[in-house]
Amino acid sequence: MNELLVMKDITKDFSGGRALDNVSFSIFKGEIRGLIGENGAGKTTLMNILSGNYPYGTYQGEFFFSGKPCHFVSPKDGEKSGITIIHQELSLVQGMSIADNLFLGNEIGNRFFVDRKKTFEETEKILKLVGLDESPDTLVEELGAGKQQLVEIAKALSKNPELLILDEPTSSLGQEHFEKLSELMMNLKSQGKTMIIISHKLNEIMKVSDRITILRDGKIIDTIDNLDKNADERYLIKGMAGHDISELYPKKTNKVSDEIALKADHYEIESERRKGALSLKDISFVIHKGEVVGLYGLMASGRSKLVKSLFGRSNGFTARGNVEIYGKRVELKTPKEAIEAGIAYVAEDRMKTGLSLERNIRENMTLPGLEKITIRGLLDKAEEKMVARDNVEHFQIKARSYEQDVKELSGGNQQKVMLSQWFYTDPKILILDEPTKGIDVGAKYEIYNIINEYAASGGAVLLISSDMSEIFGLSDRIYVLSEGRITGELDRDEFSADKVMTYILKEDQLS
Amino acid sequence: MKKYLRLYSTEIVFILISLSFILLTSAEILRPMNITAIFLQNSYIFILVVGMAICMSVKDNIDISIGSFVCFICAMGGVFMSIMKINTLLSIILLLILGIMWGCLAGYIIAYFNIPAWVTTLGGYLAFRGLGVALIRQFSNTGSIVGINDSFLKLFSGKIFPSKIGSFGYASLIFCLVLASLGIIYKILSIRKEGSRITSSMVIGIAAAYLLSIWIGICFALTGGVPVSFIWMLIIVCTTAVWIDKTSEGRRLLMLGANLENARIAGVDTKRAVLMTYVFMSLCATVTGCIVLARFHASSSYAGVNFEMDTIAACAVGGVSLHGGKQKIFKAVLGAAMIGVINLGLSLLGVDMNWQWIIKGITILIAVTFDRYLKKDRFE
Amino acid sequence: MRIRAFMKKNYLLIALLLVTVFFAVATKGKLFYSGNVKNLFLQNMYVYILASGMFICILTGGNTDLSCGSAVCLMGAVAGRLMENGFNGVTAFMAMLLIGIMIGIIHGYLIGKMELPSIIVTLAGMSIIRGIANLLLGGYTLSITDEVFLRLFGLSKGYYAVFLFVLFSIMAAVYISEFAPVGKHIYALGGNGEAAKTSGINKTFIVMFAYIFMGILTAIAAAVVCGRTETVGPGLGETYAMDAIAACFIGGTSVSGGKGRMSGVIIGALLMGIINQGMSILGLSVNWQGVIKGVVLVMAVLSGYFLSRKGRKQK
Repeated sequence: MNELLVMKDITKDFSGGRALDNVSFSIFKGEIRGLIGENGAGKTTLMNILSGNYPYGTYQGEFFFSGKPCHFVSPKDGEKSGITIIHQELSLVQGMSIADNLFLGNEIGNRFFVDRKKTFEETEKILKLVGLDESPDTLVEELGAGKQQLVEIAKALSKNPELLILDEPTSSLGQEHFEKLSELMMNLKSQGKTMIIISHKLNEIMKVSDRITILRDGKIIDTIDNLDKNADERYLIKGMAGHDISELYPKKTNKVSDEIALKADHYEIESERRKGALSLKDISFVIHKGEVVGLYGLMASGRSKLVKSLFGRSNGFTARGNVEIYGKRVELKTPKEAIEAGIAYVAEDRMKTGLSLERNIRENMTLPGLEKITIRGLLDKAEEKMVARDNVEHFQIKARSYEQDVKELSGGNQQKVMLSQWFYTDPKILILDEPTKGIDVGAKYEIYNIINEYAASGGAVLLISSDMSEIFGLSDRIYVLSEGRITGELDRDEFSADKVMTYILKEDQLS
Repeated sequence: MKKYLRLYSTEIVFILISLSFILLTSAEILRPMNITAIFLQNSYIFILVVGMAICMSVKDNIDISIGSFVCFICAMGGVFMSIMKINTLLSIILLLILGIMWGCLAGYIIAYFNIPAWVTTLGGYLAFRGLGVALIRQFSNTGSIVGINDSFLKLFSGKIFPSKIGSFGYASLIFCLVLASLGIIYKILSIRKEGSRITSSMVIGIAAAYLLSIWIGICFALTGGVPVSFIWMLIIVCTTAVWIDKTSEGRRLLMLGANLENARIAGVDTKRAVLMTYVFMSLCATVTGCIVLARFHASSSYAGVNFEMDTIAACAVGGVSLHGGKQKIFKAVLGAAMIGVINLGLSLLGVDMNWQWIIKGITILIAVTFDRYLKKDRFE
Repeated sequence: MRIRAFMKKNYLLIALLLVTVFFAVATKGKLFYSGNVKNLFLQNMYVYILASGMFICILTGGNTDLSCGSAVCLMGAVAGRLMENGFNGVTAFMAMLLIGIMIGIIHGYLIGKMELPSIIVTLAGMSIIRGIANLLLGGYTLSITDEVFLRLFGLSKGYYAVFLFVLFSIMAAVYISEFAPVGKHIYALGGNGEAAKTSGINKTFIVMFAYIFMGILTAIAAAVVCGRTETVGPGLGETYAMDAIAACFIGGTSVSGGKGRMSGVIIGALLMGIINQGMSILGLSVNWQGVIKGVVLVMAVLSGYFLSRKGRKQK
């Protein structure tokens, strides 16, 4: 048996829950293993343990590399043993040259002098290997995203790894980049290197992997062969996205009207990385009054980017296109204008952007809608307290009082505070970005009820969720977003994982 | 235990420092003359600290130009009134305009161009002292411009209800009591209006406030009256505290300081708000400049020296810079009071000026380190 | 189009040229009198030395050392007192170095390990150090008369060793930023702290290194100034920190760290020196010089912002 890596019963808990549950995982030398799973399935956590980013002792279980047990304390230990990981977020210093970035922390030369000539030569060698045609002295900031990704890979290769882990290597890149990457991976494989590639792009995974492992909810669902590069896509999708059908969703009581609440026409957003290119193209959709529209797409499809941009260009990207609210054309340049126009945006990250943790419930609840309790510039605090009291009751927020600091609440209750603060602005259109992320089942159900109620009372909802069954359970219609384009639309009676995945893969096949 | 330490750290430190100096000076510091001196000599800190607390409530913001700007205002005041013979009212208006202009300039550069605050205000630190001193030299051979309008002097210095030293100025005491009562009535009314109950800790607070005002009132009564600068200080502190608490703009600023990103998403114009904090800081510096000018009856090149140090020390000690939360203004004032006590206490003890510099520097370091230690703990 | 690119790349040299021409004309050529040119270098030696150290500190991530001016005074006072009491010049200089290293260690620890803001730490440090310095001086201005010291750091004895010290400081900074591995680490820390961390770079070590280096250079600057003026008085070094910071920013060092070259810093220091000298010759008082310095500082940083605007992402 030529097993290069053996991981046994790896279990990792975070304060929010169990990320990995007795995962056992092994790879043969020279294999390319694809690792797939939804957001939060545990892929990155597993790789962090493997690479040494999560030190030995912070997890349970053991793993062996080349037969030897691994007790890494830092990524450097992992690198020394021959395991190198390329992270999803670029870890390059923009202001430094390719060569300097490549050997950062591993400089060629002695303690006191960097051997510039040798660094240059070595860099040239590695750049050739990855197929990057640039001078080693070029500053990283002058390169496009695709080339920067190649530099990242080059950096990893310079450490001469036996096992190379690529975490979403093409997440912000296009098809051409993947072609280069797959060539490179085949090259490396012929040199005897072993690789693990994590990607949400199924077609890419299927093109390069020898075997594919499916991870879901911290457990390994299955590992299938892909030697003929013809694995059963449907099976993979079902493995990734399948949920217990026993999860209940409240009965929908909303009536979709014919009136259009929000309409977007040929909306597009400029890319920040690739000059002149668009990260979202030709987006056109409608949301009716009383309707819940789901927006489904894998990571980096552009969902969050789209809604944040609609909400008053709040992410700062340049955007164009026609947006109408109840028939009236709007140009929303700041969040304030969006709020005034009747749009509410419940952020994905409640700790960093969604709430002010150090302030209390009452203050957080009234912030977006502060105008409503302001008379001639003064706050009506009595009114504010009533609003807070009513909201705590209505949303069943479990807290000592509305004077309690938000940071002391549980995740589910924090989420409810966020929802209540946006409901207070009396929005015509409610945008929800992962509204039940990291929340227990009971709280989830309560939030589903709130959403339903809102739609039933005539509100329009745009719902982003990575949880397919959740989106199925709540939406009246679903748009599928893939690689920056809307590739499909499904009515409630057409909802099925297969269809959704077809639309997701459609874009990949097109380009 | 640690929770209470965190919550009341400022108050505890204040009591510790006060007790230390009471001991060290054998209670000399408690003499009416000295208590009054704390306010008279340090009125500048009390006012500047309010501006700085607002300014520093937003992450990474600071203004180290305030000392130099005070000098500049003093100089310009002298130029306006003594050289150009402009009347008091117009002079004050002109000075305020200057304050607004600098605040807008600094605020704009910092908020809209993302230039770090310390660099921008460092430029002001350099420029305004030079400007101020250059102006004084230009218009006078003696190193200071004298001849400030009487009405100006009366407005920013001197005492209300003046009484002869040695006699008891009942008017001062009554005045203080009236002010305290007004304040307490206001507090009670606003509590009722908000729909809250009056708790026992509030009653203790009210009682303490009354006792404090009686004591201060007696001190003023025995030392010739209520200092005008004290009134200014009260005006600024109270107005700002009320503004933060009661207006929606104030609330927005509060939330901005807590989480900038959140405030932005919630529709707050964050850049404009940051700019406004610098305008406010600059206005505080302007008022301080007027008070300093009036106190010395002249524009002096030494005006404002070290003000930024003292103000930042007051903020650091009051836990303002890093807590950025509840009762910002109150904590800032406590911090200022602490610096005032330290300043006076060291003077009384006859400690060399230089030791004061050393002690203040060390105080800042300890305060900031202690605060960081508390903060680090919280997130673990 | 090509002119624009050329201007953008060499804006610093162009600015230097323009300023020199301006003052040459304004002073009717007096700027180039040998006496003035001599002064230009001699009076500003401390700027080059301190700016070299400040440059390294700023690179680590926008960290500054506002206390270096006061430290110069303190070191001068210590050396002066030591030499008064019979210690020789070399010992005095060793003491200066020791103080510099100690200050560097404290700053480095507070800023690097405890992650306190460098402005506040060094502002407090400035206060403390100035106090100690003044106490040591007791209000007096000390005279430096030690032969060895003056030979090493002064110009009145016919020796020119002082220039070596100035050169050493500049070269040391050039070496660190261009040739040493630790220099790469410094740029990385200032450019992308996270990337530096994943590359195994220890933030505390780098910051301490920078501040200890600054401390050593401050000692050298102190020796050079005291050697030249042969006195140490209260008030020494009051504007030094600002001069060094201004030189760095004028020279194109990024305010947040991670970007900048020593070549720029030298030109920046030179520019500052010419402006100072020009204003002196024109008879402008020190006060107006302060105003100009402040304005130039802000303008330099602003132009840095505008020049690097490549489709900035709004925050």
